[in-house]
Amino acid sequence: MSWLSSLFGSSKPTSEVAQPADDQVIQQWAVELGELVQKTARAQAKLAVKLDDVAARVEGGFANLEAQRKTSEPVSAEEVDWEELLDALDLLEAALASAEVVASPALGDGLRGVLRRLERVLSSHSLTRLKPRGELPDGRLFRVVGTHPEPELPEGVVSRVVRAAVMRGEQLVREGEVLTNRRSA
Amino acid sequence: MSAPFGIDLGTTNSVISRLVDGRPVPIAIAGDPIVPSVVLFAGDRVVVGREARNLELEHPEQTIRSVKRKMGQDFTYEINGARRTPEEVSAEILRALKEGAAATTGVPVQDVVITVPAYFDDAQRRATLKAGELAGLNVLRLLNEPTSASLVYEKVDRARATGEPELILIYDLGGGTFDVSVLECFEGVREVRATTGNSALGGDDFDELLVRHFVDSLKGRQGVNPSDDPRAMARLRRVAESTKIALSTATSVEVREEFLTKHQGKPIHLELEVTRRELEAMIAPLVDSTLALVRQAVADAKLGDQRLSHICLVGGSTRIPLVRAHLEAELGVDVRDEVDVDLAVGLGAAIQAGILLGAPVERILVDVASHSLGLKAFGQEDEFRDEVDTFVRLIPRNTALPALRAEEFYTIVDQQERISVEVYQGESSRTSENTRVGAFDYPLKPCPAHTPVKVQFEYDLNGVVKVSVTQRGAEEKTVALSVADASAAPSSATLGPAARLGSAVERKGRRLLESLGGAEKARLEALLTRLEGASDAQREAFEDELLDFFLDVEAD
Repeated sequence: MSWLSSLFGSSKPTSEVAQPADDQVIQQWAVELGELVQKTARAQAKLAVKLDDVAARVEGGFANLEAQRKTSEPVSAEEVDWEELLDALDLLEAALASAEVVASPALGDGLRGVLRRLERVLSSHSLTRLKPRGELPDGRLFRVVGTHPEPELPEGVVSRVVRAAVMRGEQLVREGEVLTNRRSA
Repeated sequence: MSAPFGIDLGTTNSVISRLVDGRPVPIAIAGDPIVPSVVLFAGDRVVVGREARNLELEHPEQTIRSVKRKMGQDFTYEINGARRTPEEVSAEILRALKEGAAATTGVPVQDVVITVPAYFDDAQRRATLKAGELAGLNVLRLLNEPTSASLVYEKVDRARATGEPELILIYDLGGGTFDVSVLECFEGVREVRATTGNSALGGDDFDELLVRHFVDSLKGRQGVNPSDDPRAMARLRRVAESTKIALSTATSVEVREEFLTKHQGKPIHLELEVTRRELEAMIAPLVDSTLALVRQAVADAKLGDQRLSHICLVGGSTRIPLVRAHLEAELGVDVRDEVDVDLAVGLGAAIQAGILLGAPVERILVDVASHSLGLKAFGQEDEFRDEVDTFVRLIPRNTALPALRAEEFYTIVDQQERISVEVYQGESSRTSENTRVGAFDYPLKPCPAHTPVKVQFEYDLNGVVKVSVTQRGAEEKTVALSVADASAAPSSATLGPAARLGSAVERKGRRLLESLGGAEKARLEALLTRLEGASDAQREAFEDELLDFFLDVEAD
């Protein structure tokens, strides 16, 4: 043990002054003391390791608590997952085009009212749905996923919105999907 | 010294990354580090990436995708009356990456390493160099894609280096292509021993199978075929991809697409459950076809008496659990996926650029599960044992943390009253040879034999695994278990506190490895290796030596 040698390295041998009979006793004593020091040092090292470990776990525990605290805080507007609501709005618009709704103006009016309410919720969080029917598709905001003929619209413009794109200010929050007009389709 | 950048010029997508403080970092272009390798020539304007991909259907005759497949060929595209070589089209992608990265980072992009498939011949490599030149880049080197991926994995775990030659299998399953290579790595030299693949196989094929499943369901249950409704098909393709992704962690997904299409004026809704088993049954033939190519690559590599060291996964489709499971079963070696599989090749290119420019390259820090985590379950081999002893892994060793995995298990007998959830960690296929983490009971509602019960593991960075068990229609039960405590516990349940402390000693040793060098590090590594292989009886003595070593280091 180099650390043990350095501990005893400075002490002078005692054999010059001690009687031969005492030598054995002293040597025995030195061995026992050495072992004791070694055991104590190991025990201290073990304790130190254990303390390190406990400290690491406490640190981990605090990190966990901090994470839990953060997740239990009221969710800010930035952190809300809007995907479900945005999908629901797309579906509501699809429902408005169904034959039953078209055949019942009152039902259509009611559903459009619900749609406007939900869009107001989005607006209050600075979110805007884009549905550029009749415009040329903007590839930065929409993916063209197919064609759909609408004789009254010019060729190549958006004829149906499959999924509205959503912006917050200048930032794209969700890419949209559109069908473009192909009169021959 | 100029900044080192690396480019993964892919068939479907491309990635540019750079070295920051010695570590590779992907660069987001227009908000996303994955840039579709699609070029649209819209009049005077050249559009590259997501915007080009989005408008491809609108301008198919002006859009080029998969230009990589044409590299090195005597071929020209004719667009808007102008002729363009594949090099010129590739140069547009490189230019977009260069300008996009410079705009994002504020650092000019000059010196780059570009990756190419290992099978690229001389003409294809020269064409890639030419594309780089046309884009105004100084191409430091062309780097084989599997070599690039292996560089990243090596930087994640330098401690694995054994000083012996290592054979690594790189399994790269992307959106539209599959490549497999066997690499020999020795003292920083990497040689591709064999490579093969299928340029028309990838995750998109898996999505297509799911779309077909949805269409078949609509046909079967509602007598409706939505194939001619482009709006419905677009929605089905999107939901197919999200279902596939969700099934990598969940065991089942409820698919609901209201107002998907119309039939005789009435709205048609799609509503069905897709289980992981169903998806696996659909894609199994395709995954098996990749395994045939894996076998071919291994045979071509002529391993002789050498054996593969491990498998590195690359490409988004390797996140599917079946892929990993089949690879493990086929080759019986560790599968590694702790790097972002979509970005691995691009990140490796940045590392290579750093090395060539003399920049320091640091170890990549990724928190991973040091041992596999799983459950005790009744397996086939238990039929010949006195007790149930099969270990089913849910989170394999080296999985990046935090990790979430779910698996379905089945009741054994009719009216089974409860299941005992016993969590273990270790690498043995038998729980008796692994370490017990904890256990709890989950009461079952009356049910016939073979009723599914879902078990989910959520393993966090603090070493805590939340185990959730659910029987359909019953309440979920979640129990948090500390894996840190379990890793300190020896495999034999009879050992006491001294042995538990021992593992803390071992952990301190591992932490200390980072700060040591030279002879001290070598000595510590030797002590740790010996401790790892120690029997319970030897453990205390070996740990004492480790403690003495700590004291020596402190005394120095």
